[in-house]
Amino acid sequence: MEVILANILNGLSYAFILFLIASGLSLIFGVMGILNLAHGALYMLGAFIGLTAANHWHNFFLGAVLAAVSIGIIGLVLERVFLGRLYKKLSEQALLTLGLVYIFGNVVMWIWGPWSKMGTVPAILSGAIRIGNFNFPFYRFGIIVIGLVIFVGLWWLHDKTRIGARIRAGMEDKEMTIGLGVNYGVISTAVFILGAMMGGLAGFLGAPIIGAFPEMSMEILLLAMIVVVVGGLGNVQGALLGSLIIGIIDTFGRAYFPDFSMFTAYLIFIIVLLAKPTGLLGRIKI
Amino acid sequence: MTGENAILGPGLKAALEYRLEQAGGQVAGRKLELVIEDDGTNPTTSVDKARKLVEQDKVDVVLGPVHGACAPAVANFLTASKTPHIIFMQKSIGVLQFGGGNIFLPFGTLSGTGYSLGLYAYDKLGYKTATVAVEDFVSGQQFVGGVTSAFEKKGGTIIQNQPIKPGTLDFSPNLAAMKQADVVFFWFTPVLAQRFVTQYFAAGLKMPLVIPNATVLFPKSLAEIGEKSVGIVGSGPYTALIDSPMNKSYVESFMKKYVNPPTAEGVSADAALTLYLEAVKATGGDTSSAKIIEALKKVKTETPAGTFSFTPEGLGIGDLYILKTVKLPDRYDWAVIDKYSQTTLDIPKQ
Repeated sequence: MEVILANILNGLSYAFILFLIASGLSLIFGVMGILNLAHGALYMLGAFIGLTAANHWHNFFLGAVLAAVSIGIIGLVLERVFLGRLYKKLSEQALLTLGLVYIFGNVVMWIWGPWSKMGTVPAILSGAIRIGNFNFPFYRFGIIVIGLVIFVGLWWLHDKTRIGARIRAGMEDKEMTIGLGVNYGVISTAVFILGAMMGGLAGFLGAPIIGAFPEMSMEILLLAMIVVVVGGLGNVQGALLGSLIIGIIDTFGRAYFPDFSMFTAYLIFIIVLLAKPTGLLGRIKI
Repeated sequence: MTGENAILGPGLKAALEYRLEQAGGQVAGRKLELVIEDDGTNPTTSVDKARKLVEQDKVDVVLGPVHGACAPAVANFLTASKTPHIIFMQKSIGVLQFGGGNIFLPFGTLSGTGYSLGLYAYDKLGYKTATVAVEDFVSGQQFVGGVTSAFEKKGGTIIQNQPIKPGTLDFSPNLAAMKQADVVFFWFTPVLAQRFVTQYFAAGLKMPLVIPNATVLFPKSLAEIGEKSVGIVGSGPYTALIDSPMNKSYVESFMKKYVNPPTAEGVSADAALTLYLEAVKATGGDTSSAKIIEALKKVKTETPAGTFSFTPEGLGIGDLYILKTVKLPDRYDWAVIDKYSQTTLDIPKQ
């Protein structure tokens, strides 16, 4: 019983780590139709920048803010200078953002070296709760809570605000939305910045558990893609559902069927892609 | 220099360049030229680079690669081209079986590094039961396979074996499922090893940790884990804290130039180059493949990791160290607590 409870909690914490990674990608691809293969690289950059700031000023929360803001600024530059010119050109977007993966990876190697870093848990979230022979760290509870807060915030923004209504309108019919006088360019840029900030923040928050290293971009991107495909593009509910499905099934798969753990997540991915290509809650075809 | 093993690249390059500098850029009257290629930790790229080195650069010997999946691919090609090939770090015994007699493994086999540790864990540490967590590919399976082989031969019991997929981000299911035993035998590639140990301690597990080829946990990795990393026991062919005059002098001068201490991977590259230079001296400067291969089989030389020579099959004979993590004033590192001297670095033949 204790092992099952431990795995449920482990699955939830892993699911919310995935949600933090994937929510930004879902927003960017879902809202703007931009295939940002550099999302994993933004995650990685956010981790390194945030960890450096947190270590320098001995302040976890400052590190989190700087991780999000710095990647938001990078996102702004990427969207305005590069990606904004490639609307509906998926191949060019893929090539450009793939190139950025290598550039950012090398920049991180130059500045921080090839070493892997682990983040430090803040004092307020240190310690653990005992479940049988196993400790469940408070930090993982913190990840679940932070993930829920971010989900609620993004859902409220997307579904309950005027800005959200404009975003949804643009997703349905961009030209019509512009024709009705909405400055969709500004909205697109703002969504891209928000998605990038989410990626950077996810990198920093994930660092005490997963760590950060220069070659992690594609690994993170693959996970994010699986989650958004399973959950569906264009809404945070999809990102959350996809994260929960992948996170919990993968965790239980590894706990009880370790011989099959290599492909549990990919099996779910294939089944959903065949049965419902838009994803479980998706609004947009890939 | 890039890819999954990018973390190893700078140490390897520094060690090779440093050895070249110490040799004065020449041996037996011949000028030395080092051509370094990056295989991106990819077997296909590795073979392409080896082909380029042999066919375009016309090298006399190929040193490396370091990754377990790249080495057999390159060995296969270099056997066909009959180029002398000295591989870094430990590899699967299967690499020597490509034939041709041109392949040399100074640091021995993956299983060999683990075997002595398994003996030590049973005999000296008194462990009788073990649970295993290992990255599920050839290096992980064979490193830990060597440990468990010796451990079980002595009478120990492996009560659980958890192969874990490469690239795992979250070890919590495996840690929650971990059964209580006297010790945990584990091995992962450098980034995963650091991640596993961090999550292991966060999960509040208290079983002692034992790891073959321990120096995948670099001093910087141990520093990231922190004080809890002190006391992990392992085995390996090298640590910067080997207490020999040659190694102390090497580490001091290396750190003056490069700041960070030499890595085991770097010293394996140093040993490979040193053995080759000794072979060239023995042939009087003749670098033809057949002469070099014959000379390598007879060479015996001192390196920062100890004295090395080869069996007729090309397997290294050297020292294997039992290590334990310590906290020094300026860094964390691996201290030597025991040594198996001048042993053939493979599982003993039955």
